Amino acid sequence: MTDSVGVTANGLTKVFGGGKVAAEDVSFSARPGEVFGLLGVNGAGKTTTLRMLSTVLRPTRGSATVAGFDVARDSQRVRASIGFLSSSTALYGRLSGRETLVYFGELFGLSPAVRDARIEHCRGLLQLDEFWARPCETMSTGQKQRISIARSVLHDPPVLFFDEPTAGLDIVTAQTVMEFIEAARADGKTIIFSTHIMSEAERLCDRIAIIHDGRIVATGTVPELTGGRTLERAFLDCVGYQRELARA
Amino acid sequence: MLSVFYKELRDMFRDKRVRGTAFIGPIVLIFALMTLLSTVIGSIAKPGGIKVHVVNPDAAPAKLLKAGKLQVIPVKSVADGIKLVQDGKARVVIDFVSMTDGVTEARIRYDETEQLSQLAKDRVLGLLAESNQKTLNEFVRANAIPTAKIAPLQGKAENVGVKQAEGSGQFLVGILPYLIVIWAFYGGMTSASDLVAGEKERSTLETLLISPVPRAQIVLGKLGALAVICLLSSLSSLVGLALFVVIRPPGSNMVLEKGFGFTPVIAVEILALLIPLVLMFASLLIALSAYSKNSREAQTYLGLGSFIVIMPAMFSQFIGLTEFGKARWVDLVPVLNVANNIRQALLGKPDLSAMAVAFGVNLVIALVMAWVAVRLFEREEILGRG
Repeated sequence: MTDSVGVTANGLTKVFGGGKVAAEDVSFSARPGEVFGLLGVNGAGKTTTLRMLSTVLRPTRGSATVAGFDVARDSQRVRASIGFLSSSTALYGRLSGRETLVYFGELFGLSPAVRDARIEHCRGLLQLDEFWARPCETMSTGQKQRISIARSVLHDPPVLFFDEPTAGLDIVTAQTVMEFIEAARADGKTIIFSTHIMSEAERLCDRIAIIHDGRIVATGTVPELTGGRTLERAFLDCVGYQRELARA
Repeated sequence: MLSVFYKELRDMFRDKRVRGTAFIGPIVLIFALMTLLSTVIGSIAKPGGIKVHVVNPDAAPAKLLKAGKLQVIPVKSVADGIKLVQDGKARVVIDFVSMTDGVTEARIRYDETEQLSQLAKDRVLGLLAESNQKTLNEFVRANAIPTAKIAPLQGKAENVGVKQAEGSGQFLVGILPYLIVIWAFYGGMTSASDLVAGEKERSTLETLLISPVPRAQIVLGKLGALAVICLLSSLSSLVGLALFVVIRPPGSNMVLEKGFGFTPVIAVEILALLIPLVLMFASLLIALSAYSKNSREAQTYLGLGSFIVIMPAMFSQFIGLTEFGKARWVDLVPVLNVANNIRQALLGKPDLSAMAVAFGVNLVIALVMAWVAVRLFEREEILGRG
């Protein structure tokens, strides 16, 4: 264990087959009780960075620790310490909401007593009562997303990764997700939140890294990044909007 | 691993497509196939069903055909009859011609390319030969000619094979091993494309990979569940056959000439042979599914992979017609070794040493394939495809 809590990334680089550089020299740190935003356009390298931190992908270069565990050497403990939520609800259609939670409780090695207690906690917190006995394939998108949130926090992980969690959701469901993130921050979780929606980043993030073409081009709090401009203007200036326009 | 195993098994049992293709499909299809084959075999074997066209149906030799339970249909002329044969409207046309030496020649016009035409021709020639033999026997008896003078060489065949109750009939011995092996593979195909490739497509695989369960355990849990489905699917084909035996549709007597021929010992032998086979199939199916970007691509690879199974399984149907059935190298060929040993077991002639070799060979291949599947599952460029 190299650090007790939080997330640190040092020069994380991912080069895919064919030489495609998806992330290059990505470095940042996030503390418990902090929402750290990765702000970037589609294909900027946000998801690749989150996948390296969650041990789905191995970094080509660089290192990272999550909840104090090294992502390369201690991947199983990293995975036990994180919750991951994306816009894709990614549920098993033929399992009911409750069965999904029981299954993931087993995968995360929770004892039956702890698992059942955590399921009860999530049921109350996310108001799953009405629909959780139904197969997930029969649920609305909002209901599925609530089950997904419950699944990602069932094992009470200290670190949460949210990869564009509101993309494609209606405004009510998106609000539920954002309120949940705020509650998790208040609960002392370390949260890495990737998005391309400026208003969400402004509302939720304590600090933001603007990521473009696989590299972090700016890091800071919202006031530090904007310097009197809107976040959108600051973002466009950072990514070289005029150059991008000419390149397109 | 057990959590993954139970979850996948439950998920597959709830999937209508899996229930349809792996369980209900073999039962219904095998029953329908056997019923159809019984009807066909029954109609071929029934002499009354054979129609022959005769130019001069009132000629004395034509009575021979009627006595032989052939259906005689008059036709105006030889030319008309030949036209009917060529048009596929008649099997044979027969014209009885009296020769100068007192012999009556039955001139049979038939179509060599048509099996029904050949069957009718052979049946007519058989009736004529029987009639001639009868005439000859009467002549020999009437003139007190010793048999040794006209037939000094006699053939006498005696069946010294296994007793009837100990094995299945020839037809079942030919087809059963093929069905058992084929359904062990096909039953798993629908599930396999969903198990990894489908999970990539629906992004559920990522949620699984983020759990602390080692990837090898995830893939082995899936593999085990798929092997169970393959095994149950294979056994479902036997259920279809058992239904056929119980219901006994018309014509089934020809197929079940010696009964089902299934004993508890044969069942245990088949089960022992199937276990490494289904593990091998499940490993192959999982490896192909892991390699694929999505379900559609997986189905393409699985379709191609099915030929690896079909070819030796098909050969197993005809192995009894060759000397290969007893060759030792057959026990080293996966799939074929199982089909051939099942065939021997059904014949009531199990070779335990050959079974042990087949079991060992298939188990080793299954373990190698499982290792390949695990390695594929651990490679991010493979899992990241799609």
